[in-house]
Order: sequence, then structure tokens, then C-alpha cells
Amino acid sequence: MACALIIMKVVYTPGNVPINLGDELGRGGEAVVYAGTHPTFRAIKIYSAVPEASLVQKLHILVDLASQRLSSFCAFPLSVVLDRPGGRVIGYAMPRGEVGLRPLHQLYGPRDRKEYFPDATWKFLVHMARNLAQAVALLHETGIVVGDLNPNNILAGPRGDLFIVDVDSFQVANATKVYRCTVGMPDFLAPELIGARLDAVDRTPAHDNFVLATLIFHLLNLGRHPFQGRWKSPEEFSYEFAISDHRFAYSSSAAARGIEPPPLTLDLTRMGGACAKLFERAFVGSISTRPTAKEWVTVLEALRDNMRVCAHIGTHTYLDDGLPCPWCQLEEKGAILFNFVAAVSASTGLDVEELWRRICLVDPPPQMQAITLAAASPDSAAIRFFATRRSSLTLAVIMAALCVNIAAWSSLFSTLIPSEVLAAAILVTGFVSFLSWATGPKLSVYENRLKQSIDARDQLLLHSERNAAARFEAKRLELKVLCDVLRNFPARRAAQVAKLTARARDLQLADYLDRYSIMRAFTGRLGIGKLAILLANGIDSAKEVSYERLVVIVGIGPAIAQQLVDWRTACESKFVFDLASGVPREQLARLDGNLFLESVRVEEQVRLGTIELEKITRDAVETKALTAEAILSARYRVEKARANLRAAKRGDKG
Amino acid sequence: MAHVIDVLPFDSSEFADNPEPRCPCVLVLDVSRSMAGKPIDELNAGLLAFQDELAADTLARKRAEIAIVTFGPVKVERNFQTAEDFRAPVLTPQNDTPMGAAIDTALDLLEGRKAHYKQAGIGYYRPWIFLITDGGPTDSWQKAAQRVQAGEGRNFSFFAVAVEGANVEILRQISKRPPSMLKGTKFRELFQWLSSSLKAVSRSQTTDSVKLLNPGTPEGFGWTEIK
Repeated sequence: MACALIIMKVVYTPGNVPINLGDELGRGGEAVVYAGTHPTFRAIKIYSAVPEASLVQKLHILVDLASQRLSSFCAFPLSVVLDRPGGRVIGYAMPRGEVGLRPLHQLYGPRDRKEYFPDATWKFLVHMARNLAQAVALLHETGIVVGDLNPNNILAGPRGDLFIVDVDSFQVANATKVYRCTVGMPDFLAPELIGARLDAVDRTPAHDNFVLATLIFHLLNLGRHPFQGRWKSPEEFSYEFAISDHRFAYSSSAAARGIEPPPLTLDLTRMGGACAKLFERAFVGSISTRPTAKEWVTVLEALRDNMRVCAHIGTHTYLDDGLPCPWCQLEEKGAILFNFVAAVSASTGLDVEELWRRICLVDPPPQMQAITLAAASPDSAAIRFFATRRSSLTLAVIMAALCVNIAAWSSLFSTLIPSEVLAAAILVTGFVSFLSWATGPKLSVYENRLKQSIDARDQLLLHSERNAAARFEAKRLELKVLCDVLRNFPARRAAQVAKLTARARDLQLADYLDRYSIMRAFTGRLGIGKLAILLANGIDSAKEVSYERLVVIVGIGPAIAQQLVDWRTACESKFVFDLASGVPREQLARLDGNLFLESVRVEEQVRLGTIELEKITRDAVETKALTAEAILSARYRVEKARANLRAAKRGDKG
Repeated sequence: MAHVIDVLPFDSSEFADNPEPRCPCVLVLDVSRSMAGKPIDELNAGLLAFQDELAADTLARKRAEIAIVTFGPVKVERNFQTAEDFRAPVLTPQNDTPMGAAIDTALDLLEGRKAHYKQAGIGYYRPWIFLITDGGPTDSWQKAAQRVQAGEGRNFSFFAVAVEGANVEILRQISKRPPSMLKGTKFRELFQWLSSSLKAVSRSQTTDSVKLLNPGTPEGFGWTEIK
């Protein structure tokens, strides 16, 4: 590597404005980027070797093109910088991106995205694709060709912002000369450039548009390259071959070209018809059909604004096409493509005290007033019953007595009326009286009536005032328990985080000790034979070292064991638990996701329960008058039945 | 859902998590008796540096996949893993030098991996096979040599590195590309060169073939010498 040009602290603009160089921000093969201590020139790129004249000219052209609009999404050269006032150009000053920017591949690759963009949904990815298309469209409008558009020099921020770096590789032209972009990445290159020497061709916006479509595809299909698929051809796979032969793996014509979409990927149709068409035009069509950056902006905006959120997992967003969530379908097959309800903490959007306040506001059902009933008097039928029963019996008894006496007096009357006729008449009268006594209304009827009226009254009471109050109390208690469950979420989360942290500390310590290689530390201190014995027993780092484990190994005595244990202790004493990177974000997100889902369920129960509680009271109020009347009449019927029974028994009149 | 999982290759989810194209690299390392002492220590140190350098590059760590075959006896010390998960082993000197069988194993491993890529629909760059030895084969090596000759440049790039004491004549017959002579025990420099070459597939270049740094110059870490 060529030695750094100068070791300096201050550089100058052509107008002799001094800029102090701050911390190093980044380092590449050809240049180092420093923080610039100037409100406009916040980053300074210093070349490792003195830049050639053509590069300096290109920088001047770029500086002339610079605008606030372009510098808002590009590290656009704002001024060349000189090694001393009036000296040589050694680099340029540029704006600095926002904090938290990361290369695009860390956004579209699921593994990195889940770590660095834990909340990003598909909608976010589509939005980012739209921003990228808009950025390229603006550059093309300005007459710039990016040339080396690739996932290393496009940076993405957590709020959807975008920043393109390495602007000095852009292709610009003035009236006399084209200042070329001389580089590219083989998997991000238009088919017509494959095999070309990039320092020998002029690039066009159409070249950019191919790479733009490729990058948009990566964003929409979670890091998949459009020409990467199940390879069915006898030829050896290479990007150069696949791209120049239009082997777009997701195309409707893919099978005919010997390639199929890879498993666990999003179907082209789920990106919407307009998007699918643009991809076909970009990857299968010719250079003349290739969609422009502007076309992409329109289609991606429409896609972004036509999304729905999965009913099951909050981080799943997808095109609202009436079909089931595609991410759920893919995740069921074993891949975890999005964090599970990313980073929604159990306390978000949920105010337990507000819920409880609402519950407390619900009035209990109204109390029924106690009404004193006037004493009921028996029905005339009941009184008659007693009288009828008594007279029937009396008549029957008289007739029976007459029958007995007739026999004695028969001689006396026999001349006047035949004694047989008289006896028969008496017998009939007596029998009828007996029958009417035996078959007439019985007392048990009145007893039954009383029992029935009591049952009816109790039934009514159970379903009205006493029951409404009891149901209200029971429901309120149930809701109180549920609110306590919700109140307890932070404590439960804390306990589970503590558990995860303890585990993470152990893992981190093990990881840390694993970095202390016995080979590194003891080569020269222990013979190769002893080291080999240790390795053969699976002991190759401080992590595996323990006295108990070592001392039983043949060939390792207590002295060596102790020596290693002391070393481990020394290593361990330097260990500092890094809380920030302690518990993996994915684990925390999962924990929070589970708590969130549970809290949503419980919250729903509380909401529904509160509605039920209100309904109990509302029903009680609405039917209060009706119920009161019904109860009163039921009570009255009981009193009446009681009076009737009394009357029927003893002839009471009340 | 078992019926759905069954029809997928077992490690599809690995590729869903990281769908970056892969650049596979098999290290075929001689750990025969003669490597004892400083050579194997330096080799181990070189592997550790290799691991660190690759893991530090945000894109290369997802693309470079490392496997290690040692001999002898022939052992798959590490099966293919991306650089972000790769952990360098600590090698110890063993017995003889079954170089032919080791190369065969490496080629089989590579073919298996490529079949996986194709099945999972993952792109890849031309694989690298890196043979490092300080001796000569103690087994039959001619068939392995034929496989190397047949695949070179088409299916993979094969590099042979001769450490002091290696049978350079046989290495010449195995590898189409002339073997490189390691200067002393500059294993660290060798692995720096290798990691930097592997990283090239994750960087912008002027042509579509990876430009290797000249290992005889300081830019190429100066690990070779002319004998």
C-alpha cells in the first residue's frame, strides 16, 4: 500500500478556508475519510496518492454540480481541499451522512437486518427501494451516471434515509470530455458491460437502470439476486453467464431458460402486477425496454401505499392483494425472515390504569326497593271449599244414620210408601254427599299452589336484583385480576430479561475465554507434546480450562493444571460484561413480542369484560320497573296462596 | 407442516437468512510430523489472523465460505462455514502425508457444497482450493492430480503453496498453476493475501475477473520467493 500522502491536521479550500481534520471515519485502499471540523465540510476525503490531473478535473466538475438537494442524499464533493494555502489538491470536502447509516446489504439481508434494522418491515424495504429510485432519478436529471451502483456504497438509515458515498467514482462530462466511472461489481453490472474493461467504456443511465432494478429486487425479495436461482443447466453457474443470458429466476419464462426461483422466496406475483412487469422488462427485455428510475418511483410508491399488516404478526406487511400473508407462509417452512413483532415493548400503547378507571366508572345495578305488602285475604273459593267439604260430609253421615233407622221404622211407613223406595232415596242422597266430599277439591291443591308461587317468586328474584348484583361483582373481580396481570407485565419482563442477561453474561464470558487460545498463550511455556494432549482432550482455550477437568488427564499433572487455572483466572479478571451487546436483540424482540401478544389478548379480554360489565348494569336499569312489578306480583301471589291454604284448612277469612 | 419442510433441502433457512452469493475456499493443510515446531505455530497464527480479517469485512464475512481439510490422516477439520461463523482450529502435527486422498476429499467437499448452492438457488463465485504442504505425498496422488487438472480454471482455481522441504516437482504435476514458494514461515502474510483476495469479490473492480495482488511484492504481502 502506498504510504499515506501527508500526516496533517489542517487542509485548505481553494479560498483558503482552513478545515481541521478530526477522527478517522473510514479507510479504503485509495483514501482515508476524516471528520471535518467545519459546519459545511463535515467530512474530508484525503487520497493516499496524489490524484491524477483527470481526477482533479472531475472533482472540479462535481463541485460545480453540487447542490443542497444532491448533498442531502450523496456525499457530494462541495470543495476540493489543498495541502496548504495555494497548494496541491489532495482530496475533497463533503457532507456527512446521519448517524446509524449502514451498507444496503445489511438492510436487505435478513440476518443483518434483524440485527441492525430490527423494526424494518417489507413496507420499509419498499419505501427504501422507492427512495433509491428517486435518488438515481435525480442524479440522472443532473446529467450524472452513477456507474458503480452497489450495496457497499449505498448507505441506509433507520428512518428510511439514504446516502450514496464514493461520489468521486460517478461519471460526469463537460463539453470536451467524459470522466468515466472505471469500476463495478460483477453481480451488479448490466449485461452489455459484462466482459468489458470498465475504464474503457462510457456508461449510460440505462446501465444504472439495470443495477437499480437489481438492487430494488434485492430489497423486495429479502436479499435475493434476480439471477440467482435453482440452476438446472449443465453449464457452470456464473453471474456473468446468467445475467447476459437473461436467466431471471422469477420470470414467467424462467423454466424455459433452465432456472427456477429458489425456495423460501417471495413470488413475483406478490409484488404486484406493475412491479412484476417492470422486473420482466428490466431483466428479460432488452436495453430499450429497461424501466427508468422515474418509472420505478411511481410503481414503488403505489406498492408502498397498498399494503396491509398481517393479522398475526405485526412486522409482516404485504401487498393487499386478498391473498394470505406470504411471510407467514414462508416462515412456516422454517425461515425467520422478520423479527417477531419487532421491539414492541409490553408497555407500549397500553395504559392499565386508564382501563381500570373505566371499569370503576361503571355503576353497579340499581337496588330494588323493599315494598311492604298488605296482607292478602283468601279467595271466596277457598272459604267455600272449607264450608262445602264440611256440609258434604255432614249430609252423608245423616243419610247413613237414616238408612239404619229406616229398617226399624219400616212397618210404620210401609203402608204409606213402600219402604224399599224410601231406603233407596236415602241411600242415594247419602252416597252423593259422600262422593262430593271424597272427589271435590282437596287441600293438597292449595298446598301445591303455594309451593308453585314460592318457586316462581324465587326464580324471578334470582334473575333480577340479587343476580344482577352478584354477576356484576363477579365480573368486576375477574377484570381486577386481569388488570393486575397487565400491571405485572413490566415486572415479568424485567425478570425474564434478568434471566436472559445472566445467560448472556455466561455466554459472553465463554465467548471471551474462548478467544484466549492455549496455543497462543502457552507455546514456548509448555512443550508441544503437552499442548497436543490438551487439544486431544478438547481443551484449546481458556473456556475449557477447569482444575477438575485437567487433573484427570493423563500427562497433565496438578502443577500444569494449576498453571492453566491461574491463567484462566487472570483472563477472566479482565472480562467486562458488555450489557449493550449482552442479550441478542433478536431474543429481546422475541420476548417483547410474546409479552406484547399476551398483553394484547389480556387487554382485549379487559375491554370485552368492561363492555359486559356495563351491559349487566344497563340491562338491570332498563328492566328495573318491569322486574319490580313482576316481583311484587309474585310476592303477592305467594301471600295469596298462603292465605288460601290457611282458609281452606280452617275456614279463616283472612 | 412437516410435509412442507420435508421437500426442502435441510439448510434452506440458512440461505434464506443470508442469501449473499458465496465464494467457497477449501484449505488443504499438511499437518504431518515435519510441520512440528515453528511452522505449525505460524500456520495456526495465520489461520487466526485469516478468521479475524475476513470477519471484519461486512460483505465478505457473508460471502466467503471456508472449509479445512488436514492430512494426515485426512480429516475434514471444518466443513463450509461463512466467515462470520468460521472459527479457526488449532492444528497439531500428526503422521504422514496422504496428499492425494486429501485433495480428493477437498474436491468431493466442494462438489457437495456446489450441489447445495444449486439446490437452494444461491449464486457463487469460482471456488478456491489452497494446498499448503512441506512434504511430498505418501499415497497415490496421480488420480487426484487428474481431477485437479480437469477442473482447474473451469470448476475452481487450485493453488499449491510449497513450504520449505516440499516436493515441488510433484506439486508441479498436480497443479496447472506453478506452485508458489512460501518465504520462511510467512503463513500470516500468506493468509493476509488470501483474505484480501477473497474480499475482492465483495468490492468494485475494473474488470470482472478478480485481480490478484502479486504475492512477491509488499502490496501482495510479500510471502513468496523465487527459488
